[in-house]
Amino acid sequence: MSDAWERELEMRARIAYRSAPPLSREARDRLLDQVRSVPPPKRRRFALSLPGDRLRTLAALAGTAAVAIAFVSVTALDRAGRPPAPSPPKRAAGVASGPPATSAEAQFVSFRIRAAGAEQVALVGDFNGWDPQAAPMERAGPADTWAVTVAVPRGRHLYGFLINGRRWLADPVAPLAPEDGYGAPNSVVIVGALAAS
Amino acid sequence: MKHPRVVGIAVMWLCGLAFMALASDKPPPSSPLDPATSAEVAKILDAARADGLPTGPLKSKALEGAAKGSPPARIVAVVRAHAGALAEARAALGASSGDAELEAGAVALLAGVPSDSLARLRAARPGRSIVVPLVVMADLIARRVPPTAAATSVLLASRAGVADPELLRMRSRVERDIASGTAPASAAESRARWLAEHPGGTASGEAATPVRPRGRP
Repeated sequence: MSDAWERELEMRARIAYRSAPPLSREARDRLLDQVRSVPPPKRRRFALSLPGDRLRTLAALAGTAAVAIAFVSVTALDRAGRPPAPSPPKRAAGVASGPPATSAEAQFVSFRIRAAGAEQVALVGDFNGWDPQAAPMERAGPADTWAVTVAVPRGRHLYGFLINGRRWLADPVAPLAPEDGYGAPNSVVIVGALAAS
Repeated sequence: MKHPRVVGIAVMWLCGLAFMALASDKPPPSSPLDPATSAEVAKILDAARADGLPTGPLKSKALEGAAKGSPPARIVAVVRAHAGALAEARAALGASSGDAELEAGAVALLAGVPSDSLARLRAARPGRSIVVPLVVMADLIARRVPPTAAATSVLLASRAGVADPELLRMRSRVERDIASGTAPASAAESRARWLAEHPGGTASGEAATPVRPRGRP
């Protein structure tokens, strides 16, 4: 190939590049519209490509499961520590009021006592483990009346009122149980029907 | 996961809350009895359990003594006496008696009711609970009716087929009679006799209304 021929090819190529028609505005907009119309790739939710992201996802799932287990445990423990759920209170129950037979394990019973000059009154009995802190009574109306409503399991129960943390009083309207060695007679309440043997 | 770091922090926070809830749970109440008394009471309970007696009333007796500030020796003595009374009540009432019947029978025995009165009461109410008659019997004794008179009165009414609510009304009427000056034995016997002659009726001069709901002062 001669030098003259090479120079001619080069000259023709330069001319061809220079003579290419410029891209019109419409063509350019059409091209951009086509590019915009292509949807972006979808984001993958769990199958993350990076190993660190995958680990974080697994850690979050494990933590959620741990929280669920913890709350279930708390609820179960809380329920285990409570007495059986009592039946809805139909009325104040006890020996004297003679409640009808019931199959419920426990029943709400209202207790009231008039204690003149008392600063603190508690209902204490075998249904609350003779714990003076278990059932503090509240003032209920005038005339030094104190009251509390508690859930009492079915059966015959002994109780008394502890006045100001020192003095024991029997319920003046309930049957008495004779003094049995501790110096103060108890009152008796029967909750529910007691099955015949 | 869009915000794994936020989720992680939330999970840790919730775990902390759950741990705090567990940690703040009240510990089981410790025994109000001193160790020596607890040991003595435990021996009595073990013996009762081995004998097939209910131990709940015995535990309750121990706790009652502690709540009332009784000395340890007194608590042990009361629990032991109660265990003996439970065994005697079972012998009198029968092995098929319920716990409430045994407990009420034990209280009546400790109050001085003869054990054969318990057996007669059981025979007077076949197939029916005798808890209420026993409760009434014990109440009369607590109101200074002699044990024999109390047992006789309740037996008389029970043999006449008097129902539990009527027995309870009789109890409150005897209480009022005693408060108004009637001798306790006379009050119990006259009320029981009248009730046995008029089962389901009402005492003279009294309305046929139930006694006040329990607990109303």
